[in-house]
Parts: sequence; C-alpha cells; structure tokens
Amino acid sequence: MNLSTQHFKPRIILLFIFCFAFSTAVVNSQETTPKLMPIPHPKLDHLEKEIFDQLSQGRQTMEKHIANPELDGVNRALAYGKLGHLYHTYDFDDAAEACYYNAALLHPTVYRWNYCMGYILEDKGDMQSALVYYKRARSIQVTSDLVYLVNIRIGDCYKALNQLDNAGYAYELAEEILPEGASILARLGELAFARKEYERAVGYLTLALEKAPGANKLHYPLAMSYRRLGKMDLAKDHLARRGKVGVQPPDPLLDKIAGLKRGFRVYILQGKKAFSAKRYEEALEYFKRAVASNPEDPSGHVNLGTTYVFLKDYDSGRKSLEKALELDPDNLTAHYNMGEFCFYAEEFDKAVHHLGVFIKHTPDDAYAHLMIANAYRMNRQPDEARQHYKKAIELDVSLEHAWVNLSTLFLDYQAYHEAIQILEAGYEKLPHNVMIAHQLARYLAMVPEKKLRNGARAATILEKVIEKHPDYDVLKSMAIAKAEQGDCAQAVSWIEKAIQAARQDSLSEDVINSLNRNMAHFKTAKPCSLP
Amino acid sequence: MKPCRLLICFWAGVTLLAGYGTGFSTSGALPQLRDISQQAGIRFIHSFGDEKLSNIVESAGAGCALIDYDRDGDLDIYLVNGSYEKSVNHPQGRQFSGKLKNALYRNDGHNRFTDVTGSAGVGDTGYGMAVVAGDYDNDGDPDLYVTNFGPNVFFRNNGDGTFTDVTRKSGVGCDLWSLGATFLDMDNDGWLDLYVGNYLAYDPEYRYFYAGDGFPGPLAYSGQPDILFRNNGDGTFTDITRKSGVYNPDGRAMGVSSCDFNEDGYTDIFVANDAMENYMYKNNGNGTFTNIALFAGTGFGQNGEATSAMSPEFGDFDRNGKMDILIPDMGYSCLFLHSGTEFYTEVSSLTGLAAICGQYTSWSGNFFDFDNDGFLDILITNGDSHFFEPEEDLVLLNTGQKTLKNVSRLLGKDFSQKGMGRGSAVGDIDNDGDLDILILNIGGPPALYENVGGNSGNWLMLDIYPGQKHRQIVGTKATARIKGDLHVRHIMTSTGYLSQSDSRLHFGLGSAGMIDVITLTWPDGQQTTLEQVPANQMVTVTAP
Repeated sequence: MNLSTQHFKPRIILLFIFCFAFSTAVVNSQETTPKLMPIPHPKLDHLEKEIFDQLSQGRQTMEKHIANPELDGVNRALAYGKLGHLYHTYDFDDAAEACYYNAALLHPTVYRWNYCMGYILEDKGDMQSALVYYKRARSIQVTSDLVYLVNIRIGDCYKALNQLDNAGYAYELAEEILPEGASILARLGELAFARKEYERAVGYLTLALEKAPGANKLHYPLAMSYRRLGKMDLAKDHLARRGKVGVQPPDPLLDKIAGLKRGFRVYILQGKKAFSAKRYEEALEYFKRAVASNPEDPSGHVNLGTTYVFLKDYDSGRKSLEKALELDPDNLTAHYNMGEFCFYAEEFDKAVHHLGVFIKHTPDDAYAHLMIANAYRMNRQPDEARQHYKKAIELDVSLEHAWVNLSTLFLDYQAYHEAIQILEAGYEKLPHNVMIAHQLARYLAMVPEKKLRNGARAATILEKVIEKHPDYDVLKSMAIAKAEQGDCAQAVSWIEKAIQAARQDSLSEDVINSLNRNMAHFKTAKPCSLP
Repeated sequence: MKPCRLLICFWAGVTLLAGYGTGFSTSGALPQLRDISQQAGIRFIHSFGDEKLSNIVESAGAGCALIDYDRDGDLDIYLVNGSYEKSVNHPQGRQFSGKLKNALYRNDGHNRFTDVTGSAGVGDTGYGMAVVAGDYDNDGDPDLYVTNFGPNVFFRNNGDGTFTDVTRKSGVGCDLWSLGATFLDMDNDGWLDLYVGNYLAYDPEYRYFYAGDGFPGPLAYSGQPDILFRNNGDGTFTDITRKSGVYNPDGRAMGVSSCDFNEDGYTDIFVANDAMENYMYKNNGNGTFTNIALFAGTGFGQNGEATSAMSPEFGDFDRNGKMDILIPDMGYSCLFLHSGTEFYTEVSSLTGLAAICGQYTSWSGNFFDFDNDGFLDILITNGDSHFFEPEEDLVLLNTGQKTLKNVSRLLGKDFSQKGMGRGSAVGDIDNDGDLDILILNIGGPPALYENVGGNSGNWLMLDIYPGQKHRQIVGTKATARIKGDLHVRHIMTSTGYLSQSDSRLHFGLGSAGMIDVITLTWPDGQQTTLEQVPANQMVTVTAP
C-alpha cells in the first residue's frame, strides 16, 4: 500500500471543505449584514435633567445615523461606539456593551471598540470574553503606549482566572515596552506575591513604590510578603503605611469617557475626587459648575467654600459657607467647615459657636472635639479646652494632636507636672507615635521646672524616635537631652547633626542661626544644660 | 486517652430507608438539588417594602435559619422579612404596609412544613435583616435574636412551642441599623454572650451617586459601632463594647461570625465590613479583644483592596485542622486559608473562586460537604445589589486539591433558576445524611433544595446536647480521624449571610465505613473521645 496516497486523499477532502467554507463565508459577508445586538433602553427617568438630555440626545443621534441606508459600516460603527461611550460614562453597562459589540462587529479593526468592549466585560467579571476583545485590540497596529495598556489588561484578566503563567507573559510584554512603569512593576510584584515568590514580590513592589510613592495600596502586599519572609518589623511598618491609592496605567480613552459626565451630582463627585487628590483648582471648577447647575443645593456651596479656603481665597470661602448656612441653617458640614475657617481666621468665638453646633449633633466626632478644644484654648478658656481635649482622646486614643495640644495647654498655665503626665499617658497608649514621644522627650529635657527634668530618659526615648524620624528638630532635642545630662561634647555633636539635617532639608537661615546659637551655648555655658 | 462514658444514643438505620426511591444510585455522579419549597408548604414571600430597589436598606436583607426550635429532632425554618417603612421605601410600597412579617415553619417530617408563626409569636414586623439562634438562658432550647433596620428583637423560647419578646427585659435592644449578629461564650462562663454588627447611618436625604448605580453605596454614609453584650446569667445582658476593646465607630459590619480560630480556648469574632477593612477580634481571654485582621492577612483582599465583604464563614477547607474563612463579596470573593500561627493567605484566584465569583454579586457563603466525599464544598448565593436583576446561585465542588470546580449547572434544572439571593443555611432537613439548602431571595419566595443522592457517600452526624456540667455547647470542637485524615467541625451560631445553619455536626466520609476516633473538646478544654464509630447514623451525644 502506498502510504503517501493514503494520506493524500484526506488532505484533498479537508482542502475542499476549507475552500467551500471560506467561499461561503466570503459570499455571506458580502450579501448579509452582521447580526447586530439590539440596544437596551436603560431607565433614565430618575436621572437629572442634564444627564437625561445628554443620553436621550445621544440615543437620537445614533438612531438617526443608523436609519440612514447610505451610511457605511465605519460610520455606523462610530454611531454605535459614541453612544456606547455615553452609556459607559454613566455605568449603564448592558447598553454600553451592546453598542460596543455592534461597533466592533461593524468595524473590527478599530482599537477602541475592541478595547472598550474588553473593558466592559472585564468589569462585569467575564474574563474569558474580555480576553477575546483585548487580544483583538492588541493585534491592531497602534501606538506602543496602547499596546502596553492592553497587555496590562490582558495580564489582569489572566491573573483573575488564575492563569498566572499567561498573566506573567502578558505583563512581560508590557514590561518590554515600559520597563520602568510603576503600574507594570506593581503588577509583577502582585503576581510574584500570588505565586508565593516573596523575595521577587518585595523587589518589584519596592521598585513600584519608588516610582509611585503615593501608591500606598502597594504597602499591603509588600507587608504580607515581608510577613511570609519572617521580617515582622518591616511587615508592620508597611502595614501601618497602607492606603487605598493603587497604581493604574495611563488610559487616555477611559479618561476621555469619564470627561463626558454631566450634572450636579457628577460635578460634586468629580470635585470631591479632585479635592481628595489635592487638585484644588480643578475641584473649584467642578464645584462652581455644581453651584451653577443647582444653586439651591447647600452642598455645592459647602464644597465650593471649603475649596476656596484651601486655595487661601478666604473672602470667597466665607461667602460660600455663609450661603450654605443661609440655605440650610442646620447643615452640619457647613457648620464644621465654617468653624474651622473661623479658627484659622482667628475668630475664635465664632469658631466655638459653629463647632459647638456640629458637636451637639455629632457628639462622637473626635476631631471636632479637638478643633473646638483648640478654639477654646486660643480663646483663653482653658477649662473648656481641657474638657474637649480629653473627650477627643476618649473617642479616639490615636489622635496624637489631642495628646500633644492638651500637654501644651498645661504648659501654657505652667502646669508642667500635668503636661508631662498627659504625655506619659499618651506614650503608654501609643508607644510608637513619633509626635507624642518627641514632645515627651523634649519636655523631659527642658521643662522649666528643673526637678521634673530627666535627660537620660529623654535620650532613651529619642533614640527610638531618631531611628524612624531623624528630623533636625528631633536631633536638636537629643542635643538638649545630652546637655541636660551634662554631656556637653555629645550635645555639640548632636546639634551639629541637627544643623546638617536642616541644611539637607533646605530649611531657612533663621533655623540654622537658631541651632548655631544652641551650639554656642552648649560649647561655652557651664553647665551646658538650658537654664 | 481513655474513652469517656457518655450518654450516647445511636439513631441506627436512619439512612437505610432515606434516600431510596430517588433514582440516584450511580457511584461518583453528582447529587441533584430539587426545589421542594412549594410541596413543602412554604408560602412565604419576602418583600423589601417596595416594587423596585431604590436604596441600600432595601438591598441589604435578609437571612434565614435552620433550627430545631421544638427539639423534636428535625430542623424547622425561620425566614426574615422586610417591611414598609415610610423613611425607607418609595410610597408605591404602601400596599405592603402592615402586611409583612417574619415566619416560622415547623418541620412535620416527610418534607412537609406548617406555618406556626402566629402561635409561636415570632412574626416580628420590623424591617428584618438577620436571625441568629442561641440558648441564652441555658434551658435547652434555642432563643432567637432578630436584627432590624430599626429596633432589634429578642425572642425567648418558652419550650412549649411559643416565644416571649424579652428585648427590653434582657437589655439587648439596639436602635442602630444592625445586620449580622452572633452568639458566643466569650468568657467561658457557660452563658452565651451576643455580638451585634451595625452597618451604617442611613440618611434618606442623601442622594449623591453615579447615575448607573441607582442609589448611593455604603461609603456615602458614616459607619456605626458594633455592640458586644455580656450575658449576666440572670436573663439580662450588659453592654461591654468599649470595655472589651471592640468599639469601632466607623465600622460598616455586614456579616458577623464567631469561632475559636486560633484554638486557644477562647472564642474569637470576625466582622465582615462593607467597602473597608474587616475586623478580626482575637479574644485575649481576659474579657478584651484585639483586632488582628491586618497582620493576620484577613483585613483586605489579596492585594490590599477593601472588598464589599458580606459574610464570614468558618470551615476547614483544606483539611489541615485549622479553620479557614470564606467571605463572598461583589467582586471576586475571598478565601483565606489558615496556615497556623494566626496567619492567613488569600487564595481566591489560586482556587478558582475568583474566576467564578467575578461574574456575580455574591452574598452568602456556606462550607458544606454536599456530596459526602469528606471535603467541604461551597454554596454561594448571588443577586444584584443595586437593581432587581436576579442571578443564579453556585455550588462549588472542593476537588481535594485546593481548587474548586463550578458544578452548579450539573445539579438539575431547579438549581439553575435565578433569584435575588441573600441569606442561606445548610442542614439535613430530612435527616437522610446529606445536607440540604435553604436560600432566602429578597423580593420573592425562598428556595428549599432537597439534596438528592448526596448520601451515596457515607456520613455521620453528631447531635450534641448540653449536660449537667456543660450547660452551653456553642464553641465545642469535634475532631474526627478517618483513615489518618483529619476532619474538624465547630459548633457555631451565625453562618452564611445573616443566617444560621444546622448546628449538628455533619461529616462526609466518602467510602469509609467508620470513624476511627472522634475527639470532642468542650468549651472549657475538657475532652471526650469516641472510638470506632460506624458510619451512616445520627449520634446523639450529651455533654458531661
């Protein structure tokens, strides 16, 4: 039997089948339109008018275009895709998905339709389907930053599917494009963590944090990696620094979609987002739009007023907060912010009034008690101040400023023993708190009532503080503690270190001069401790 | 250790009859889940007091419980209902005003239930969230604590089929918005204490949200502190929240559970908080607790993300003798494996849980060995959180290799139905040796699934009663050794989301015909050993 003939026949049959199928597909593609998805009608009746109009008009525009029989596939895709962006903006995901599906079907070689479709599916948790669209997007010739982005998304999907090798491959492709990118370093770190490669995780996450120090969410996997490596102190240190800010790759398309948002609530939310990110000018613009959109809503004025204050436009800030209280005299946020504003404007009576209203309705807010205590203190009402500082501490023992300010209040009235006593209590509760420890050490080193001084203990406390926080002021306190112990040479040595630290931090000449005066005292005075 | 003499009563032959006639006989085939709620006579329909979901209160409830309230040896059903509240619901829900109440169904045997709500006096009409059962007065029958949006209610079981509202007398009323609650004996004094998880300060006037969300989420409101009540042993409780160190005014507790996860002899507490870090309160043994969630690795998801954690469920998923924790959420859900020394590792991706749950909004999770193969499988309830969009529930099979397989679509057409799943409880309703399922769907009827064929694998059930010395058995741990394998179960109160499962201890044994040794560790650390216990029976044990 001729083996080659045996194999030849099936090959011919397969080729025939393939040719038939291909020709059928070509004919079909020419003669029939692809099967499009109907676009759901999300309920819009509960929306603000501005958003309702935006979405309704977007829908009408799309329908008008689609009804035009002359419109080619590219522009039909565009009509669907643009409406998809609008629905996507307001999280009407099902409607957005249908629009993107149609757009990608009608014009499959456009990156953004495939990318957006993938994004919506990933957001819904359908990773397998998301991967199909992301891979299509990747296969389209686009700029390297978009390839970087889509590789990250592909890696994220694979990671969620626990296909860690595939995730790693996608991330490596992204890494080749932008090896120093914080978002890819973070993901490689998280992937290593998931693979239980803790040393590698530490390496990547540390690098990512160097690139994006504000991405405090990365401290968590870093802490867990250190914990696994048995480095408990480092683990605890990073846990204490954890936060909510992650690191996302730049995504111009999604940014553009987010920019389509309209309406009072959206302006407020966008303003708050910008405010939280300390982009105060941008927040101001959003809050102005919110107030213009609904001038009768006090929350717009509250946010606007607060932002003005942060931008040091105090007159405008006061007007906005007053307007908020005029519209809603019981608005607690307005009272609180007005209280803070009055405090910084040194109108302590008014600060006490507004903060008092807030506390009356919100008696468990520790920070409000701290603020009103500060106002009372500045208003020379020590009994009230003391009472509120203590309440603040009772409500939130970790409120370091309450401990420290209460001690300062005692100091104001020469109650040195009580000042030290309260800091001792705070130090016992919060032994790792730098501010409390430093303040206690400083008092022990130089409190005017000499019998209360304890230079040795101050130095012991400061040694731990310096490990974490070798700031010039702490170094100066150590110098004072050494002088109090009578070790003038050490005092000089520490004050030199303080001067060096101040110079490194580019502090003003006034600070340097002050430290130099201390040095002169430690070198010449006998004893060198402070009088 | 020498085996201790016990008051043991073997319910021999129970399963020799049960399970036959079902048509299930193929070894290795999956059990089927048959919805018997209608034929069982369950006419309860949950309502959230409105026609469509329009705020977070309507979306948050509700739970259910499988308890033997009349101590007749079979599981009864308690279902929590919503209510029409003017301050919560849209006026279109007025039609429900005064018509909604919780329900108690008595198990009459043969999968038939009778509504005894009225005669028992437990038809609370508050806006119900959770139910938790525990014998707070040590009289031998379970009492019921019901949490509400509004004042909570505590029902004392009179032992004669009726209950008395003792909320005021006992001092466990709470006007905050409570969700989860759990009974535990925190100080091992033989009296059950009560931890109540409070959610947030709902403000109906607050209406800022992205259009697509439908209504504001949990971070739009400030959190509320949970409350820990210590049982004084005289029918009253004392609020020891601050004194015990569990005062956290910013918490947003959803589910709450208790278990001695570190096996130091003192029951610990886990609080699943919504959209923020969880709390894991380690019992210090001196009346105080320390939150160790962060360092234990259970505060957040794998990479530090705050999840919308719904409900903590304890169980030994990987059979290493340590209690692991399952927490469903709106994202990928979390499964924390306990590696000892109070360290947990989140493995939802590694086990495949993330890929499955990522497509759903998950609420309740139960560990249960539904095919009696000796490994704890997982039940998950699903349903959208912001819109009335039902989703299908899930049964995930534990492969024994630290991975999960989604077999939900292989369990019969009944289980494919979609619902707005919230609370769930598992238990052996028909005493046939396999675990059945009760799911509370909001805005609709509950589902009661009979497990058909789960008992093709061998099993053993421990029904433990209090004794002269041990008047309280919550916290008791049972360790079974079967051919060298370790199986651990704890008697706990709250399980799943806002719910409570069968408190009897179920062991799937696979092909093993006998348990070599069962060690019962009572709450005070004293141990009792049973040896050579044959499979396929309900063993009643009375504590010393």
